[in-house]
Amino acid sequence: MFIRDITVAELESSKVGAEAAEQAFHMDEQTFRVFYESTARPLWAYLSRILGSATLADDLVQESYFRFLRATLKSEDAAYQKAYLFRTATNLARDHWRRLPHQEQGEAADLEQVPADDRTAEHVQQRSDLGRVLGRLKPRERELLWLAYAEGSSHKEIAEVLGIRAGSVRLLLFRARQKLLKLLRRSRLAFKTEVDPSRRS
Amino acid sequence: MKLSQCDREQEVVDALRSGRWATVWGEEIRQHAAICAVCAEVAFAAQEFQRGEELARTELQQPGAGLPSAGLVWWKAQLAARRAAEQRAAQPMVLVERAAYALGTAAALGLGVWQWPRIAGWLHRAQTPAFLPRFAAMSEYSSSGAWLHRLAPAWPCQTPAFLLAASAAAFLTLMVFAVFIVWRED
Repeated sequence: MFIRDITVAELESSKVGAEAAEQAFHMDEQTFRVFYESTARPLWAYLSRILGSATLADDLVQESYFRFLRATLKSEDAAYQKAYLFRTATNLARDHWRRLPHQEQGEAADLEQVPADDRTAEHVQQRSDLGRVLGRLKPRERELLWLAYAEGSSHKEIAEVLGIRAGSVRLLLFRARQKLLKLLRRSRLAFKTEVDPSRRS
Repeated sequence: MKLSQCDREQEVVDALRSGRWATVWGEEIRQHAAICAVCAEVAFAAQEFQRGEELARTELQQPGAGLPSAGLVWWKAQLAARRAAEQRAAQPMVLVERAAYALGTAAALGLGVWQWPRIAGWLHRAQTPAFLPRFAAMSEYSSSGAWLHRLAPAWPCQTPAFLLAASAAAFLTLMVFAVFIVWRED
């Protein structure tokens, strides 16, 4: 059962009072609101970029919070809770990839989508550069790079989220970064050649 | 590919994320990145990703986009948890119910086989009005009836005590099964 299957109508028809309805979640509603406000946007950005689909990110964000609320956490530390949430989201994304046919697993679906009113040349180029390049990286490389450079997570935090040894992060990140830079350079060169035909040799 | 690294990589990322990079307080780390190839790469990658993150945040502000409120997610989670709890609670009952159906069916079949001669006789009498000529006994026109007629005398214990013992055994089996399910849930 996915949380996205629950409709607003069902929520409205639920006659149980707030107190009676509260299940044994590890945090109360107020604490959850604060936590959600601080983590929902970064989590959505992470999921939408590693999956390449905003719609899928919408679903998985809600599912991640649902699983997070039901989990038994070892600590109330905010950093630990955030890492746990991101790990849950990463596992859900991996479940999604596992269900895909093998050849589609490494490809992000709609990384080229740009908001309709935001099609300035700079944005389109920037987005398509990073989008195209991310789409050509392996899922784990996307996860590593996003966590390291967009989230600013430390190697230890990345290891916790991705379920790998902290010692391996440095090497994996280095390799992923080299690949990213190579692809970005190639992509930039292609763009410059496209807009300035005189650069064509 | 040789792993080249610098101890200040994280500092570069932190400076960029906090906005310190572009200010006078970021002068020192900028100068370091200018002479350190690793940190220059890290700075370039981090800038790309931070622009990507900003763009993602912009997408969330577009009409029709946006995340559900914390309250809605909370309520949905509550409802989903309640549903899951209900399903978990009902599971042992469903299992016991199924086991009861299976045992009931088995008992009915057993009784049917055991008492088939008598049942066949009742059916024969019920289907044949007095004014019509009687058919021959069931065993003579039904191969399955004949088989059951042969089987019935061979049944070892056609006594009330056996029937009682068989019922008690079935009941005890069901109870043990139910107790096991409840214990497992606890």
